[in-house]
Amino acid sequence: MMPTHATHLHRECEVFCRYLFGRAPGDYILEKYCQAHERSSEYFSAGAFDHALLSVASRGPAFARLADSYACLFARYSAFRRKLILLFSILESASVRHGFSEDVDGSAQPVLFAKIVFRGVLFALRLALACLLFLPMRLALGASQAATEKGH
Amino acid sequence: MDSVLIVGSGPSAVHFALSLLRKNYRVTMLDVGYPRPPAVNPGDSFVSLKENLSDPVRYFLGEHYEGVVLPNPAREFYGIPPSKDYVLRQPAGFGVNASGFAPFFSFAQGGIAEAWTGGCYPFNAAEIADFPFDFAELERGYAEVAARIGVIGAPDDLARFFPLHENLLAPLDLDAHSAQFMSVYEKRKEWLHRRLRCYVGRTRIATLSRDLAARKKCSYLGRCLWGCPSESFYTPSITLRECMALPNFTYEPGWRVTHFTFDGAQRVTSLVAEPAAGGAPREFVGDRFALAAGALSSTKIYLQSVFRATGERLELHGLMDNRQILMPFVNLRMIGKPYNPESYQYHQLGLGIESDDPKGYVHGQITTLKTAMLHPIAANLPADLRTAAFLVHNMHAALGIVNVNLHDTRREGNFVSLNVDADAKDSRLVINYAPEPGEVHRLRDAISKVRRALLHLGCIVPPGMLHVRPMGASVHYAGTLPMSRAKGRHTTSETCQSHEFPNLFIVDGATFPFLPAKNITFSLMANAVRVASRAF
Repeated sequence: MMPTHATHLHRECEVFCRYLFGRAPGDYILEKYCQAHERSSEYFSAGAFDHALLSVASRGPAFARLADSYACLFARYSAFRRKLILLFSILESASVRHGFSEDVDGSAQPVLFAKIVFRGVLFALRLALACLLFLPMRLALGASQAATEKGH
Repeated sequence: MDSVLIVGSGPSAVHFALSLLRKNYRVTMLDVGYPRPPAVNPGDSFVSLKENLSDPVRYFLGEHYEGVVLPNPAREFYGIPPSKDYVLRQPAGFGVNASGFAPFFSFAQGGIAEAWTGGCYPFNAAEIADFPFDFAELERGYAEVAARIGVIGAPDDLARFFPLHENLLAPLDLDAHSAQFMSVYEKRKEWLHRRLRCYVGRTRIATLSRDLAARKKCSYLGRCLWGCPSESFYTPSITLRECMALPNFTYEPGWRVTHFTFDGAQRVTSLVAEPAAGGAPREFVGDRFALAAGALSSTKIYLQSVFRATGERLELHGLMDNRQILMPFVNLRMIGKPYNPESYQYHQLGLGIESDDPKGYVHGQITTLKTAMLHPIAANLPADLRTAAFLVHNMHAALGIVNVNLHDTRREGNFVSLNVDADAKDSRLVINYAPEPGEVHRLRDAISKVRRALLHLGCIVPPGMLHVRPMGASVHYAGTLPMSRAKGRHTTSETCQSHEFPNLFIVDGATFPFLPAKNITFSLMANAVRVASRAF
């Protein structure tokens, strides 16, 4: 693997980890994330929009969350989404020192239900914002890709 | 004493072999036989394994991250974990052309049951009405197998569907979710019985609640899904090892049997096998022969044998398998509760739905999720992954899945044949399967009843999460060389003796003339014991 690619993957893993997990990944998680990219071709972007989605998401945790709000419904098979699922699987397979803790929220059930509803509302708002950003982008890139393919 | 050659090392093969060995027959078992790798850190629990392994991600996700379940509409929620990859490893050159059927084959020591979930559900008298022998014969087989392997269960509401037999062990401790589910059922079961004819109880499982010979009772390590490191959970390779300890047994791994040869009197004279790693074939001779490689593999050997000797391309009709529906659910009362990973991981509860026709029984295995990976669930939720992570972690103790099974019948349109290449050197198994015309109604009815039952027990099935598995996914294959009282072509006697080849026995699911909505494995083992007892 090219060193620049490794640096790029480290940066990507760090952003996605902060988004998913709320903190930076340790060396073990970084190593596993990069290794998965070396050993599987599942995590490479295909197509202009796929690439653009990944570029936007890699800018920071807030962008990653916005992009994921869109991708979870409208780009479920994108490279970005596959990378997030890979990272999730790595975090849940690692020890609690490196990965997810199994602790539950700990609130009483009515409070927990209220939190779930609140998170649902926030998700809906993010989804609306994400659609405003990514739908036009998808249409534009889809049109330009179609034109490129036609030219070839 | 006669020598007997057995093909395969799955549940039927090993119990057939053990019964014959105890009767002093000389038994040779031919098998590809990919072995199970040694257990990793056998004393560790699921949680301590993550802490103590230097590379837990490699163990749980695999060398090539094949354990990551990425979004794919055709893919199951869960596949076989990397630690059990050897179960589905196939020798080079093995291929199948299947239509309407997604078959699994195993060439592992112990066969596909090395990756089973341990369900031991005896068929009842009504379900074996088409079998040419009495229930009492099979009942003795169930008792014998239960004594050998260890089966837990309880005489509860499900006993109306699963006959009780001897040598049943006490059940294991219930995990918190299953215990809560059962307590609600006890309060509300009158309604379920009256309105849905639905009954819930403890499943019968091939695991140990007390020590059995060298095997220790379940110590709740929580590692069932990745392979029980203490062998409390039964797999057929345990019985294979027991056979290997006997002097009249010869195990020949590394051989893939392609066909048998027979003389003018239709007596089988030898088995021809190719080395799984490639090389020249070899003939193995004996007095009596048994195909016990699993219904499809045994059928392929049978088809090839007839084709090579006569040029006839047979079609063997009546292939069956259980249709399965996976219904994930959330138990509302368990949301926000902590979960205990150190508990038994497969299903501990089951549900049965009665039908006017006893053969129409619908069976469900209720598995509460504990140490199963969460990313396949999170990835399927209609929310960003951070929100999904919050949801699945707080709902972990509330998640479960019902694996609903439907029965199947032998039908002419479903057949197995061979596709032979021009020089007749290579052949592929061809499988054609179509569900019966009324299956959609049966599916809808079963889904509706299970959904209503779950709702009545305080559980909801999230929209869009239900999954009807393709035919072939349950790996309960049966019906291609059925037992029959009439001596029809390509059928077997009540002792699974071929009507065509008098010294050939078909000792696996191929001989079953009906497939109830139950895991077939326990009945395969019991039938193998029965055949060894009656015909030898």
